[in-house]
Amino acid sequence: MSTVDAPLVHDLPTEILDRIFSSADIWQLATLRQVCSHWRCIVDKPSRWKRVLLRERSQPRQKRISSPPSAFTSNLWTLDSLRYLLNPNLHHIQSLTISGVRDSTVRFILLQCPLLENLEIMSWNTLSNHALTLIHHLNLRCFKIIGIVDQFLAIDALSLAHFILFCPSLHKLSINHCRICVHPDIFLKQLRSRLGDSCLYTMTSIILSSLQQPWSRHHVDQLLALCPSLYHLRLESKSSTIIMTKQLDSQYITVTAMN
Amino acid sequence: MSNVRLLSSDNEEFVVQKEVAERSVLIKNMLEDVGETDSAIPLPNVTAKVLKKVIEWCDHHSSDPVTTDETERRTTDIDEWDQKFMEVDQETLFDIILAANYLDIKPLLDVGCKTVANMIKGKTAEEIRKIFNIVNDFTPEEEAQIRKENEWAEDR
Repeated sequence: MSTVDAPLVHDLPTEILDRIFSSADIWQLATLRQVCSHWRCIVDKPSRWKRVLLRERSQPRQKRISSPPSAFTSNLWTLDSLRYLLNPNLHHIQSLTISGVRDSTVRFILLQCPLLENLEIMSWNTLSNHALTLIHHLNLRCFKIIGIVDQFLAIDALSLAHFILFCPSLHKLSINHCRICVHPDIFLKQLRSRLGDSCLYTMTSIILSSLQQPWSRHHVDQLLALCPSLYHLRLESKSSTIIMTKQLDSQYITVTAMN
Repeated sequence: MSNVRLLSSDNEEFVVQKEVAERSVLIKNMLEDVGETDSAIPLPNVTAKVLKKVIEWCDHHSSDPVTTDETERRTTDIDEWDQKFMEVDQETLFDIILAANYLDIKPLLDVGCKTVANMIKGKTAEEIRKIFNIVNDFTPEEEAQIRKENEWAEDR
């Protein structure tokens, strides 16, 4: 390709450059916004950053020789990478899916994306209460944690309850395929005492699977009282699975299975 | 099979099968609007050189099913014939893209955009500027900011 007599890339209209950039991954976007101010403007278009997908952290450059994927940890996102890639556009992000997380990266996302409504996190080495320690209220509406084959999740009842209380718009909470110890008594007591006469009015769906402690019918009733809008509930422990779905007549259909 | 006459901006006339010409949504709509016509359709934005390329592409792809866009756009794979077809100098490549945009030939526009995307892939900002002859127009302050951002990018 000639490189001298072709000053024509600037003749392409913005919508076409936009189309060209649409296939770029997040590392490429970070490079493209350093080329010139016009390209930066196109890359930083708010709608491009509304939904962000961060697959397991890959090498930023093809030519860099990657070390063999021996350690499980090599695929986790670092705080520095996320800052580099997301900082200029954090305030546009409404929905984010990320795999390969640790406490610091989850916390960074929760605290630094003011418009974040949907967060989906997958795969980690360790993930603990620190990930969900908030200092201000969030606009989060949907929060999903998806483990890989019953991966351990070191988040306890107290921290989960605190997190929920910091997300007053939360509609959907789903913690799936990970072993988690959410002690029902502590969880419910914490929510009840902090909510006072109030309720979790927005909550419509809760899924907690691979619970270490089984929930009793009594616990479920307490949870339903706390979440008047709940239409779907699934609580899965080693010994039993409880699935409840609200019908049009506001009655719940309950399926309880002994595992 | 009826033919259509197309007139390039530099007044060269091309006779093309109707179904080939109708890969262009612009031409298809024009033909629907005017009905049967003997006069050539003027394409004031496309030179003969580029129109010839575009017709070559439309001819090769005349029997392709009309795809509903968006779904395939994410991938950067380009089929072999298209790859060969796009082995042209940058000026022609951009002319083809602009013509595909004007004539509303989405699949050709996509192939062009993917070709450019592949040229960018894996390159540094400086390398990209060189390839496309782009002037670095950042102010010293912005340059400093970029350097600062790059310090975060470990593994680079």
